[in-house]
Amino acid sequence: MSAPPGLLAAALLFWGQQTGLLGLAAPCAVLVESWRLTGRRFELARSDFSRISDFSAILFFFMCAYLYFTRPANEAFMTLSAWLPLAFVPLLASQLYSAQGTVDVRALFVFMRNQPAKPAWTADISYPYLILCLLAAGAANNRTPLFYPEMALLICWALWRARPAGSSAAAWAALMILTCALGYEGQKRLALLQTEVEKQATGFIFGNGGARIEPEETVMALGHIGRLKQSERIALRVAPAAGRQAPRLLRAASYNAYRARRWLAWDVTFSPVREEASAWRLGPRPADAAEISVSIALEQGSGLLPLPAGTSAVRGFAAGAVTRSRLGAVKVEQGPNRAVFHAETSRTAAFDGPPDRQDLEVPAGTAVMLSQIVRELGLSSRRPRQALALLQRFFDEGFRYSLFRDGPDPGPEALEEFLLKTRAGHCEYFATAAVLLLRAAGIPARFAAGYSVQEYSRLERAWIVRDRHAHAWALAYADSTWVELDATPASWAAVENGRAPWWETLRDACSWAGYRLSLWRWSRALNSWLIVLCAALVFAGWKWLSALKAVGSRPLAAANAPPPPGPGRDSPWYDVEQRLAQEGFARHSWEAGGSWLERISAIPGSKVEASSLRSLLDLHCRQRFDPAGLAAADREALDAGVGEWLRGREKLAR
Amino acid sequence: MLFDRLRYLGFRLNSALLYWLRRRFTPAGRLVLCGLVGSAIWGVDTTKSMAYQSFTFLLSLVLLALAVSRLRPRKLSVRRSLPRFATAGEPLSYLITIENLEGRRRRGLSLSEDLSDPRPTFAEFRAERNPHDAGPLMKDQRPFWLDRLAGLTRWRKLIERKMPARAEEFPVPDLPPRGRVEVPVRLEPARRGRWSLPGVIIARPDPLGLAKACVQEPMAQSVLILPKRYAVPRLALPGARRYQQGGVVLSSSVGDSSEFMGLRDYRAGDPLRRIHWRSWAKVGKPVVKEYEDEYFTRHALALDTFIKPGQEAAFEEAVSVAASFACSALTQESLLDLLFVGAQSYCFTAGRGLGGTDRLLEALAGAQSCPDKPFSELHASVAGRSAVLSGIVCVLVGYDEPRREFVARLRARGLPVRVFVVTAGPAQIEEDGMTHALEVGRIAEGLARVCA
Repeated sequence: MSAPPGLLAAALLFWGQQTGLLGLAAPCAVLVESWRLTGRRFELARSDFSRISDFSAILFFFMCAYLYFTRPANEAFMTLSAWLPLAFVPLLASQLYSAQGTVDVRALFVFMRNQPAKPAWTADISYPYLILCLLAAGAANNRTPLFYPEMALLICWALWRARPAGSSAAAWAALMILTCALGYEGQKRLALLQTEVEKQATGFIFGNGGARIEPEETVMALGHIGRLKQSERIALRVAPAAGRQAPRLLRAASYNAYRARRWLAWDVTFSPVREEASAWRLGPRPADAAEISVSIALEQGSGLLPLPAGTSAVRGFAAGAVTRSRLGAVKVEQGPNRAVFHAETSRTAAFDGPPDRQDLEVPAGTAVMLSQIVRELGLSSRRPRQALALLQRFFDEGFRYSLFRDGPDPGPEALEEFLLKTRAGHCEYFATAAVLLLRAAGIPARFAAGYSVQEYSRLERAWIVRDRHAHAWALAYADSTWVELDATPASWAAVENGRAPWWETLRDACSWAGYRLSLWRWSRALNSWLIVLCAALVFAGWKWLSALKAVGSRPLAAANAPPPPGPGRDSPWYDVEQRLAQEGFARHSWEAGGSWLERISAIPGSKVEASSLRSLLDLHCRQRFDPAGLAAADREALDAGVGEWLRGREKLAR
Repeated sequence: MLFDRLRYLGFRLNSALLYWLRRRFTPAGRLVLCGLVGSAIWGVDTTKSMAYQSFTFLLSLVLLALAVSRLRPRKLSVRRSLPRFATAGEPLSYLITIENLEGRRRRGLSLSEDLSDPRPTFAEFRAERNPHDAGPLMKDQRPFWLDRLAGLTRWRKLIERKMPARAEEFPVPDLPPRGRVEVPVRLEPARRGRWSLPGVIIARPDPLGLAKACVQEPMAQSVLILPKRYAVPRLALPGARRYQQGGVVLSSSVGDSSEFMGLRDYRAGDPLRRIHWRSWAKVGKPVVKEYEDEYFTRHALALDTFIKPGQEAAFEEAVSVAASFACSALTQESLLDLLFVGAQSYCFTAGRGLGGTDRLLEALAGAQSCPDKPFSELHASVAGRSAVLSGIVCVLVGYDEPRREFVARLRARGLPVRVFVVTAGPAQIEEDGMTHALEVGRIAEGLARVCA
């Protein structure tokens, strides 16, 4: 059952309207309907369908490649979905303009092309194409209120034809109206349901903390029960300048206020960073500046840059805006999805804002407990650098690193439990405790979140940083500069590395390959690659258009296709037929070989002896029609006999 | 084992799903379901695509169609007129009469045969081998590599073997109130054997034309599907007439007529028609007439049923070849013994009034392979009758050493033996005037060549 007149054109126009490709949809609509006006159809062989199907496939793969290299993955998928009707319109047109009116399914798939024919293997693709148009129109995500009524109208139009004989039109219409109402109500509720599910799922996924670092606040896992799990995914690749060591810590954000087990960037705004000589300048260039390069994937081109302490500039990527906070966080907006940036760093310089009252604030509930520890350690009486060393020793000697805790959630007393009872926890405990103890001792301090650089990859010849290397530490203001204090015991690296799965090497190799591809994808080399791709498409299109032209020269009315190839098509007997045809004794298409010889031998002056050619004709027939074929000796005899006869005929003519 | 079980379960569920879809949905309904699945994939995120609106619309459409289709057609009487025999590969046509027991017209009905579940058991699935395991295949017969790897080829093969015919739907003309119509049904049995038809399914589409309401009318009947037969010219079977013990019992109508020899006392097993009633009346004990023994031609058609795994297709073709010869070799002047081994050794004799071709074809329709028995059983069965046989036609599946020896021994007894070896692929067999190779898929060509 083919689509009713106008339905496919309407579907294409609907698709064009939704995707904004009306300029392309309109000619396609004309193409798929004009055969009804001209009545011109063609006899297409299966090979023609195969060729057109290949052309559609090439078009599809070209779209895939183009979108992969020019759009982010999620956007590429939806755009590809929205463009699909364009790729398959040649296939639909081939069906509509063919005498058969259907497509041989074997032509669509390369692996089926050798399969023998079956009656069930012809299909009308007009309705599947209609569905494709509707889905593609939806993928365009043009959130217009017209989408639903137009889509429903097209489906009703299509289904009107499928109405069974004897079915009441009134019942059909009533059911359709009910369907429209149910569907409309359903789509509204579905959208609400998704919002609710997303809200719940977000809490479920991110509620237990992890590597997610936000500029305004960090959601920590203090008091979390059970084992903290973070992924093995490689988040960063760090390559220091030749002869320089990789930085031990890369900071993404710092926070100055501790509220209800969360660290917040209180009273902090982001200000734009100037771009000077293709570098985003954060501070004056220090004398001992060196460069490290960091590769990072930015979600939708935005995110915080993990930077080593003392970074004075970043460069090597284009971005719509780069902003920084006085706490040292650097944020990129409208940047690339994969950024490889170079950070200009110094061991001595620091460009974070000076401390203020907020950097000395201690939560009221913990002040007493902290003061007692400070007193016991004698931190207040020491110089800041000495206090830092003492605090480091305090944590190294009396605490251990652990990702597991059991028992009930201690709530606000999580820190107290850590410092006084369990004396075991993960980096957030150590960093929080260190910051608050320093503040209690009168030393301004901040909480820093970022990554620890500790794993060198021989494969990549660079330092790699995984999600599980996400880390937290303290920043203390000592001697008029911000100093990093990593209070977490050094054993934490061994504990984290011990959690590596056995297939990590293999996964790293795959990740490396993906990374290289991603770099190439976003590199400038892409432009030249696209030129090559376009050239290949133009060439392929030209080849296929030539084929279509050949198809077009075979209209149905004048179809006089050459006979299909078969055994014995190379028989020399055809030379005899050709020779006699040249002399005016052509064989009629309906005439058997033997009858033809009898007929022309009876013509006075033909000088053809049927008996002399009969044996050659017999050999030719055996070659053509005997399943066993012709033996080599017989074939030689046929060749020799025909050659001799042709030579004799030539002499006779002379 | 686990992988096998998982894919078996996958195929089984998929098969059930497809059956349900075909049974409960019209082609338009199946297309709508495709759209529903597509829109579910595209519209999974309602913020990224509008396809979710198509999804809810199509879902409402399908649910409404299914709900409305619960109203099934009732008060119909169905009767089927089924022939006794049909032939594998040949169309089987018969009529199904439907009577409307209600006072209102019924339109848009369709009917189909309720074929039995063709899905194999897990044991059958595991035991089945890939077609290429039996030998190399021609290019056009090779399955797609992915199908082979997934086990789909094996599954399809088993379904084809167990599925008697393609389930087709036939439209029912408009049923007048309290009237009846005859629906011509045409099926193409794919395989020989007894084919049970448990009932007929009558379907009515819903007003939207998407889902179908189905009613199953139980009507158990069966038809015997005879083996497929090839056109073979009459085979010139050599061999002299042989003495037939029992003489005229085997030739009651034509041929060498009986010669009366005398009377003798009744022995157990003598047929009643031979009793000479008047002599019995005279002497007071049963006396029978004795006739001269007879000499006439008697041929044997031996079918090899001892196949290995992977030779099922060759065996089916061997049965077809045997059936072709059973039809063509039988003459009014000779007897033909059909010999094969199944659960036991069977011998069916036809000719000279003992029975016609149909008897042999019925026997062949039910012939089963016996892969668990040795080939020597057929040897013993044939050798036991060799004294009365004028010649033998052997249809073998393969030509290995035991079979060669079987043929050689028969020939050593002076019996002319024509051998037809059916193989799955091109066979390396030295063909001579009496031994011929037939390849599956090219049997007709092979027979035409042999008999030319």
